[in-house]
Amino acid sequence: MWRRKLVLVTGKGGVGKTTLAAALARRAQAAGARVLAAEVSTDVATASPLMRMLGHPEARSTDPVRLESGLSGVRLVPSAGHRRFLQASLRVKMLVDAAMRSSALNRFLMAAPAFPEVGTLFQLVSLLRENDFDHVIVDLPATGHAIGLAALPQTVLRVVPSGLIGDAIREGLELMTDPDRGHALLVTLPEAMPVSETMELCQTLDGLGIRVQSMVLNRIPTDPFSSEERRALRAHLVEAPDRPLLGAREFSRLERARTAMDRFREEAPSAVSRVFLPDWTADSEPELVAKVEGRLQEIEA
Amino acid sequence: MKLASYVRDKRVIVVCGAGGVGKTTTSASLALAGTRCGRRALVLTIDPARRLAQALGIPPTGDEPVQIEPVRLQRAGVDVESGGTLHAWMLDPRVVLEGVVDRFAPKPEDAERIRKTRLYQALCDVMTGLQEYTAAEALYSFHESDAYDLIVLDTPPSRNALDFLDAPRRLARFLDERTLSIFAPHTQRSSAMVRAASKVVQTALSRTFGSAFAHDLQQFMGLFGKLFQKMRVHASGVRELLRSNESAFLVVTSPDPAALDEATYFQHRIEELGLRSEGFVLNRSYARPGHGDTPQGRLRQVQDEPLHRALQKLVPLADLESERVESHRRILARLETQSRSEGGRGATALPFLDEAVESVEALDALSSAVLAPESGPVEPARPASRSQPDEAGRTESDSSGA
Repeated sequence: MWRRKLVLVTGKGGVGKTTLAAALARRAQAAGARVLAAEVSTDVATASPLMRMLGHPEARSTDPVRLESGLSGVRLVPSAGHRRFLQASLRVKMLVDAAMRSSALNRFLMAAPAFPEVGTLFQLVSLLRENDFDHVIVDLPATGHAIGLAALPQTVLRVVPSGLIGDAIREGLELMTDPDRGHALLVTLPEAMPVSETMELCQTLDGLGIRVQSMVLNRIPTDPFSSEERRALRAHLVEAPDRPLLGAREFSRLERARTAMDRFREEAPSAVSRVFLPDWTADSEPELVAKVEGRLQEIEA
Repeated sequence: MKLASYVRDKRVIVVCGAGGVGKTTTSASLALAGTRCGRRALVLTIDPARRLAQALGIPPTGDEPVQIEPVRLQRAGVDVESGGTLHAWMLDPRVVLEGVVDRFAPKPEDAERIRKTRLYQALCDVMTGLQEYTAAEALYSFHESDAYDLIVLDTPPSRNALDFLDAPRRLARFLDERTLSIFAPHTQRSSAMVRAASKVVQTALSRTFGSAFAHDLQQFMGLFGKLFQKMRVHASGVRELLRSNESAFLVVTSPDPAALDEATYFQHRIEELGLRSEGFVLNRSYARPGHGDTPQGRLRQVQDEPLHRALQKLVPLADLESERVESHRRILARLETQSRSEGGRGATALPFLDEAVESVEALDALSSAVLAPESGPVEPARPASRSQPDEAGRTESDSSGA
């Protein structure tokens, strides 16, 4: 799952996407690779969930910071990318500072559609150029359309075919769409709607030429019932719908999870591997990451 | 908080919240509740919940709202008061933006020229920010047209969802005169400072983006700038409508901590924008009463062997459920206080339907909950495993308000 230069981890908020990104970074690190765990965020002021999961909540830098041997962390933030491309184009620091101080330019870069994403992508591409990482694991933002960053390059290339940005974006696009160098992992929960949405997302990414390597069904509840017991309980609940039973709602949750798992097995494209992760509890986030990492190791073996 | 009064009396309900909390479903059920009360209801949505859309017979994108065929409602047993209709539209930013350009361009040739710039075309593709704005546009024009009694607006699940309310300011940030001035040719009157700064910026832009883009940008900004003057007037109309008593803002959340954080964020954002957040809708929770017997109690009445085993295995799940019920009710109580402390009307919980709401029947069940009179304050649940069942195998809690 992590054996590519660029690994994009995506999914809606609250599905455990960041946990998976952290666990993948740990796996790659344990295998002796040089890994960069990157988190896409809108600004540097807020805390970083990914760095927290990795046990380094203090790391917030937009330049790669070495967290441990073999593991670095970075935050991809639009303004950091904007500064980088200004630096690359103006080459004189004083001018860059002047340009970044220009509120008109700043406002333009942040408010113009797609420019924040361009900044993020530019930062990612320049990090890849300047550093020698074996793997970059990117935790994509949860908000709304996960395809934002992925769909962006083609759009931007139409508008900005030349120049520094055009070149950098083309490079990013090539990396994302080369199945030997980049792929995406989709994380979702065992409920009807999240599974439907993930199937759709998988198609969209496919249409954009990005290979979806795995779909991860996370937080699957433990189901203690045999099929015979399940049938009996189901029939019992149907018999007396007016006499509610405590625990019935948890039972339906298990049923929904089963249905979602079945759909997941049937409907996911055959080229995509399906990964099932249980609903673990842990005392701390790094501990949860360690559990997921252990499971990933088993899957690899 | 009584949702029923909103769907009966308001003209506009704006539904916001994090992704994955059932915002689209809630919006659709509010609109359907309006229909059931005999109103002409429209739900504007951005999120393509395809299965629900299929069940309702709505095409994935279209140029205008589509009426849900009355026969579909009939077949599902929806009880509609006379005159009630339901329309739905999955907003397509491209279609709405076309309309804006046509309406506001100073001359038809200008509209044509704007549409031809590569930037405009990219603007349509890159949805960030545009969705929100187009939602506001659509809302306003439908309101003006007076074709509907109730419009429910389902907002995108991003933190920027309410930026459309800030449309004048937000667009201003993008298109204000000072920003525009750096692209515009310079006159003798510009100060040396401005000229120097603008030279830096222009060098940066053409070197980074290529000169073709810089040229496009200049042309686009020039044309869009004119348009913007008129859009500003329009945007303030939207604001006025949303500020009035005819409109209500509801924040939807689930018991998930991340969703609750987002809900608080939206509550404050709504107030920051000078509007009032009516309250919270708690979805996907166990806060609504509805569980009765404990599995331990049932065990005594059951002989069937597999069922007996199943009930035994259900005991720890019942404990888990009790814990969740308790925790969700605490969340609901907290949301109630949180809303009232900021001048809102409180919080309400919608039932957790077993299946995903992907059929007209399920949507109707949810709309019944919207219309149901509130059952009063919920009493705290008692954890079942720690209490001794009485002889009938029942615990005495949990029948409250059911």
